[in-house]
Amino acid sequence: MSRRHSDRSRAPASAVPAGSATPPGSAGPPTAPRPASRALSWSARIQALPGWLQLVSCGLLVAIGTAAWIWVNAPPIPRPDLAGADPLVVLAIEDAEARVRMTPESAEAWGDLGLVLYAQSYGREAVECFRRATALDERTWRWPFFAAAASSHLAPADGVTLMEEAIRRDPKAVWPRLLRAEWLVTLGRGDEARADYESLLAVSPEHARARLGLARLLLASGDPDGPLAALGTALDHPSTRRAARQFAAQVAARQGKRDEAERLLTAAAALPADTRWPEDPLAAELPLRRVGKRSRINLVSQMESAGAVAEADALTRRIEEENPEIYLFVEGRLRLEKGEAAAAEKAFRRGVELDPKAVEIRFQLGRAIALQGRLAEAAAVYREVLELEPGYGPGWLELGRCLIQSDRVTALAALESAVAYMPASDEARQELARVRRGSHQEDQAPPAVQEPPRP
Amino acid sequence: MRQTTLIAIFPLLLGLALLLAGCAGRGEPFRKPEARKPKGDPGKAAAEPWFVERALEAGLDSVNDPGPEGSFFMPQSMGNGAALIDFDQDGRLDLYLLNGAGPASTSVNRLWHQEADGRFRDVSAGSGVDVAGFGSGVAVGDVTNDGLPDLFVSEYGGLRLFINDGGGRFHDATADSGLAGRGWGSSSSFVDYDRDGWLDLVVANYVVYDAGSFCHAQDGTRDFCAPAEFPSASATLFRNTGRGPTPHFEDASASSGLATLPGAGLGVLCADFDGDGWDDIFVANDQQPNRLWINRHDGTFVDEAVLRGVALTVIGATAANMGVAWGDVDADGLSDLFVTHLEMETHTLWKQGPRGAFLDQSAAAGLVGAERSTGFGTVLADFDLDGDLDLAWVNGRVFSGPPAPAGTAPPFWLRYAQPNALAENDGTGRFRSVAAANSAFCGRANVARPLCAGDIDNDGDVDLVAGITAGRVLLLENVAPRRGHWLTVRALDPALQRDAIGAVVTVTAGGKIRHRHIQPGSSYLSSHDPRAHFGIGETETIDTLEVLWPDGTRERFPGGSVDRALVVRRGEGASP
Repeated sequence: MSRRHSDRSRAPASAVPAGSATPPGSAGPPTAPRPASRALSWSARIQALPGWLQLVSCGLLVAIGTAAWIWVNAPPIPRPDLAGADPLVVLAIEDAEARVRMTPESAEAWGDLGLVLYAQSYGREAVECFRRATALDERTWRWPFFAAAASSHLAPADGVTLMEEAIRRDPKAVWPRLLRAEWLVTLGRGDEARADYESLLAVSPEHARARLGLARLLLASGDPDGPLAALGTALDHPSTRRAARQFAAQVAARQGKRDEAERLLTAAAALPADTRWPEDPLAAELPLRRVGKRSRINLVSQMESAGAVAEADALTRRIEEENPEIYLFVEGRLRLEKGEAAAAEKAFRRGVELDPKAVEIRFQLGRAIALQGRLAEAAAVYREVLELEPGYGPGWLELGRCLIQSDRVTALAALESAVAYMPASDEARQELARVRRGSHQEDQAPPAVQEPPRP
Repeated sequence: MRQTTLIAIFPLLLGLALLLAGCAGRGEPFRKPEARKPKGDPGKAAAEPWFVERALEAGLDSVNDPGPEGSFFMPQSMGNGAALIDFDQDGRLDLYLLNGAGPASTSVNRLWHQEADGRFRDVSAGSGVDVAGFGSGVAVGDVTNDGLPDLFVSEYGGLRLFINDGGGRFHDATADSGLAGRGWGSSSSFVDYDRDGWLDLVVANYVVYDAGSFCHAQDGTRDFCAPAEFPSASATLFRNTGRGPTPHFEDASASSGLATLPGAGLGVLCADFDGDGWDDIFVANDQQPNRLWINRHDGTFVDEAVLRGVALTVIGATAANMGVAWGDVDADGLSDLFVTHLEMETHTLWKQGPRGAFLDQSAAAGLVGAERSTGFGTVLADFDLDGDLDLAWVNGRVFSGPPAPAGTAPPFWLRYAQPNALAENDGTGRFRSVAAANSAFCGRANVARPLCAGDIDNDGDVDLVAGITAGRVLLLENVAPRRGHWLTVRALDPALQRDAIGAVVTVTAGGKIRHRHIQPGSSYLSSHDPRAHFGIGETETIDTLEVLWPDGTRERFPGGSVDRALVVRRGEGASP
């Protein structure tokens, strides 16, 4: 018997448990010995491979094992309920999630996902992402700061604790200490807040917001003289000087110094309004992260208000490219302004096809049709608008206008609804009064609101 | 095993080991903050409930109609008011509930009469106050000094004054009253600010809302608009000229100064903030500094909210100020001010001290806990009669959030529903939540707005009524284990034939001094029982009872036993 046969015939110990001897009479028929080629064990086969191939195989197995470990060990990606969300929002979140899946050990990927989520107001999920980024990147205070700031709105006590890590990583960073101090004041943890303010001022003695914050804290804690002494540069900084004087007036009033208080209030009133304090690093990230159609439209308005016209135009073009219904809406409005109602109708119709729930586009479609004299058709469109949005005052107004000639009773009811929903609208009141005069009706109060039209 | 075998399988084992290690447990990526557990006496924590809900049992089957869902018409989210009013002066509080479905809706405002057996009967039909509209706030006061309380209703788009004709009938006197407005009135209150004996009216106005606006959350979903989207409005002050039996008001907003500062007003409270005996006007503004209009005794007011510390929070921030409550929470003889805010803020308790000056002491009062809510109507009252004022407020978001469990509110409102809150005063002005023991009031998420307080069943303790948007009104009977005695005081001015709104009743008992303000207008869109209710604690005798009447005169009345309802009349007391 060859050594291999003897090896095979001696069954491995694990195959036969101790004490489990084959019962008499149960032994099966003897198995035929395997051919010599099948007799090669898998280990022998491996040994038969070239050395370099063995090495490569080892490495491959290690890599597979490691990848499997990483995949299994990767934390779940927090996902909010996106039902009804803007498709662009969903897309942005999915893109960010994909980056996390590709590089689950990347703090930037997690942080970016957190920012996208937070910008879309998914705070809880964003906090989880920021915490993950914090764990992955020990170097920067940015991620724990974001986690803390995002958490503070939901649970300020949690925010305070999370901010500890940001401060630990960079004790001299201003924002972590400043926000934590303010949260601590709100939580009534005055001593800790004071320590943060004082630490911050040791690094940045002229920090006006910290000075005013410390002054407020001292007042709240009953310190009679400290508040005014703490103000310092807060009285001069354009973001705090008015508020600081008002605060000083409050202190003076509490001390019974009425004249002094009045003087400070007068001085405060003479100053221009305090400028807005620069946004904290998390808030500064948000505007550009808001990807929803509406958010970006709002951002265009903000850019225009801030004088960033070129940037606003560029963003507008991009919005229109990505949201053709918006492009069509704008196009339609421009056509209307030029008196090109038919072209406007065409644009609005296409826009409604792309976004059937967009009340504004449908409303403008109604206007375009009405301007071409097709009042019954326009009325039908306005009814659709009101079906979508029962409280839409302009819809009631225009419906009323369309029906004056054909159905005066319903027109009156619609105009009364318009006045009810837009009580400050002179236009609606005048239209109602005009129709009533035409109907020889006295002005009546109160106006009646119709139930939303049913199809 | 042969060495080669080991070498060959080592990578596989290594990979397997890594895999198993990964599955063994997922370490926390970052240390989680430890949950803070509330402190307190464990025995107290397991307290018996203070309230049971019995609206249906009492026949009060009134479901609010805020109008059609899905339009995100902003007034829907701000709620419709409620008032406790004894309209027939039979000694039992009745109820007036507003709806907000619009002027031609079949959902009219409803008047409920409390019968002798404690049940409520719908007497709306033919009452004259069964009108439909976008109901907002309601104030109760006798504007004609004929002994019958009248009703004022603010609406989105108008104002209404209903004069009580007796016999359960009111007539709409708006057209001849001089009261006019097309804006969006919210909370309102009667006050005799010029001490001429006629009740004047202050109306907080919210924003100039554009009903053609569409607002969205950041993720693109539709939502109610925020007040910052629209111009804010200043409060309106109407002076009752006291002409004849037909009430007439003149708009004193400009001359008084109230019109000089806008504010997005939601809450209003008329009380003496500076201790000079004249009622001042506090307006809680949404996301803007509050206004404290100090009465200068000459028909004019000056805003001193900043000076007196009630404009901003402790860190100098504005907040979404909504409901207002007033009372001496720490028994130091000075009334304090509580205002509800949004869930991402903390409700604020401004403690008075020294007189006329206030400091945000919310944290010291235990009111910045882990539970966040968007609060509206609020009440300070001694629910358990232990001698100190407890705190209740109702909740419900104005912006969409995580939905409440299905079935707790209509589907559309689930994302706005939150449970209400109830907190016990430990006697030092520090509050501890007792919500867990009060499921009738706090156990179910809702979108609640008005909260009215009063001794509805005349049994000596304070009951509550909460208005629920798109839901049935809550009638909460106080069943708290009594930890002391009580006294109810109705202050009447016989010459004026009405409750002495603006009077301050001070009771001394057992060495403790407590005062209550006769002012049904506070909370949010609400009107309370006009009587002053005192929890006396264990003391069994009232030492003295003193009334500071609205005209500044003081009278002292005899003390006496506890656990009774008193009526004190001006002119029948003694000079102190």
